[in-house]
Amino acid sequence: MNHCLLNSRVYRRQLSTFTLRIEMRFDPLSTLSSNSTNQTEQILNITASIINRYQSKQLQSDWLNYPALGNSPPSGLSIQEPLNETTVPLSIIDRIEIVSLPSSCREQSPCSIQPVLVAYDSSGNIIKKLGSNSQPWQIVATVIGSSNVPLIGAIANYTNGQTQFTSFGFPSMGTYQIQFSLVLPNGVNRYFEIKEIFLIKICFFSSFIATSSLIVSAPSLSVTRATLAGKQSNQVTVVSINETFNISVVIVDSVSLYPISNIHWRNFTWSATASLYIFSEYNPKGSLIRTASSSIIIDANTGIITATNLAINQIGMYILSITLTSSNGEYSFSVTTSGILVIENTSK
Amino acid sequence: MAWFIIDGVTVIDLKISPLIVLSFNLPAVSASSFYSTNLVANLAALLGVSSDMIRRVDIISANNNRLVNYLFYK
Repeated sequence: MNHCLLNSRVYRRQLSTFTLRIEMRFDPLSTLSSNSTNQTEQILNITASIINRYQSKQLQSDWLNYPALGNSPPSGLSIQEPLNETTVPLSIIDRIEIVSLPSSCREQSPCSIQPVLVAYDSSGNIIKKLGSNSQPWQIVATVIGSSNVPLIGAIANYTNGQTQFTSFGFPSMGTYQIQFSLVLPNGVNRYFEIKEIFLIKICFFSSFIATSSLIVSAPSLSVTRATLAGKQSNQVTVVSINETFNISVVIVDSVSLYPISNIHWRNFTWSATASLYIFSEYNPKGSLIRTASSSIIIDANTGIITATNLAINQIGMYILSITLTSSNGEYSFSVTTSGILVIENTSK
Repeated sequence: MAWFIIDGVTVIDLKISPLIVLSFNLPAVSASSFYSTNLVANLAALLGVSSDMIRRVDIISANNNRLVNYLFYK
């Protein structure tokens, strides 16, 4: 049952400033089911939409279309989001600025110095939060004049007062000029406004996103040749004499140890060989055995290179050396595995 | 936060629903501005939600954070 309370004493009351508090929720579901997930998702989307509209100043503009709401848009909005017990004041975005430029960039791996951008309100205060908790605003980097260049880790959430780039990098060597621009989460640049019961107006944020103060360009920067190393990607710790095993390695950036996902960039192909690592002294007596079914498998999708069906024929502690070589000979490096203990065959 | 005092035979069904609470800071206007029959419909339209979702609307003084009055409660 609805109750609309009207108090004539309050009706005449002139307030200084006040807070209009609105609580919104769906009816609780009688049972937990997949519908509860849908309901949560819906309310999270509604939350994101309201926050997006307020922080882009769209909601304040729309407020003026409703004279019954006082003809004066709100000067502030605090929100308690679903599944959260804290109330957070929201800021209105004015501009974004680059605080830290990306630098020390090598092809195919994250720049050692990641870019950091900060959003400010019109008073010059740093905005801590853009978007809802579940759908924060994001900032995307693109190459000016070549928007189809597939940058690595090019999209970052804006949370805790700055962008959260962690793996931003470039696919190949060269000089690039990049720009950063805001995108609303999930690629959604629209919201729904219910004008009447059966009329839903679809509004677009695209003009807001295209605002020049929300796009910033960085000076040109150079991306240098990749410096590569390898890293074992599976663990083989104990095997029996002549028991076959596989060793897998991935190619990584030698500085960050970030795996190179596209190992065929610049049309490289790779070959690999496996051998026993030779200690300066006290080498065990066994040999590395390659069976008829031994092979090198290079998975282009995962970047994992696997030497299969290897075996060692004497007890002892061994380390393998996997040597990877690029097709043009530009890169050749070895990966040493962790120690492999070879024990007597327990089936005897 | 909800509190319950129960005895040994009481069964309480808790039905939980995620909640959004919006607190708009508004400039000095008369509270009467908000006493219209279609307040909830206007807020729902503005916020882009169904009117059924709005469960409570009230006014809080910005000076002392005190509840001035309920405008709507469901």
